Amino acid sequence: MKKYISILIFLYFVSYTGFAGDKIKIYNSFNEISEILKPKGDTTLFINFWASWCKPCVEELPAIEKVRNEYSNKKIKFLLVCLDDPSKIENMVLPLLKRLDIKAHVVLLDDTDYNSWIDKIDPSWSGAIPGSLIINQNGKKFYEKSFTYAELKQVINNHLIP
Amino acid sequence: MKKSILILSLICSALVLKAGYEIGDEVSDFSLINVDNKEITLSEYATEKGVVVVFTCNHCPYAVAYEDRLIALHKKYASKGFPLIFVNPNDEEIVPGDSFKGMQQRAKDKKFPFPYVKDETQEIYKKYGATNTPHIFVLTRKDGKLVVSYIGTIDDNYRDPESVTKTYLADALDALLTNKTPDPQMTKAIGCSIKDKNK
Repeated sequence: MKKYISILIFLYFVSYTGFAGDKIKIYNSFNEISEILKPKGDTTLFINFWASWCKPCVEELPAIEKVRNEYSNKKIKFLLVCLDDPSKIENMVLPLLKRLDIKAHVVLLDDTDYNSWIDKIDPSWSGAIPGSLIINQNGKKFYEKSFTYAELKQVINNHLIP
Repeated sequence: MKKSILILSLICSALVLKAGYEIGDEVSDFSLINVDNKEITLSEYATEKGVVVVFTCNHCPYAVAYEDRLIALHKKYASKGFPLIFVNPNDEEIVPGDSFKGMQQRAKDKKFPFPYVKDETQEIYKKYGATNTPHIFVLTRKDGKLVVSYIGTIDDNYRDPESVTKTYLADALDALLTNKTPDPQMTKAIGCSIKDKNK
């Protein structure tokens, strides 16, 4: 009995460290996540904002994954920022990522005061998703649209630092 | 000749770049069909004070999450001079649930106490510059015209009404009712993009 209780207590604490299924880290405020949204050195960072219930978001994920695989030896990192409710991770987000075979780095941002941080990503962003930010030491640009595979490659090529 | 071409092209590009109404803009009137099959004309529906135009839809989780709160806001502010009107701008070919029948069902299920009209030609949402659902435009009457006084979202927590700390829309309406300027006058929010195949 004691063993079961201590396992339960352990699991209870694990659930509050902000991880879900070892796969998706939950950031509870924009301040918490802002550090990982900064590119390092001459690496370009592609940050995609999406949600499992957003049809155009889900439709472009395979294209992003395809480019990510092709560009694995280039100086670019891909980050998928999921805006789903944390309660949806197990039954919606993880199954969706598995179904589409998405292995890109996915995190969840749980900061519902969107007005306080949308402009920090880019003042031109209306808040509609999907939207993607491409950022490196030369600057940044926000794309309020979904990408096809070809478009994404072209846009990334334009930003990559050789 | 060259100078006038330059001025003309500057004006043209300004018209193209301006994507929707800004604070202080006078809006053009519209007449759209309500779920009861009757036509609603904005200028006639608005009171002496103004009206709250809500671009929304049937399927977006953000829009749905705000329905009860918007119904409550209408019940509080309609008698004070700011009734709500729901406008669905989506193309039902992209989202079948946003068909007129779907709207009628939703209005019936939720007992909407305000009109729910369809932006059939998708011209109205473009004029306003609405980008996601839900997207609020508060209009106040000034010298017989309707002028944009607040643009944006309802509050800072779509998911949990109990955890709301900033009631952006209610605060804006309270300010306008005492002839003050809303602060903030514009807010942003995540939401589903408006579904338009010609975008």
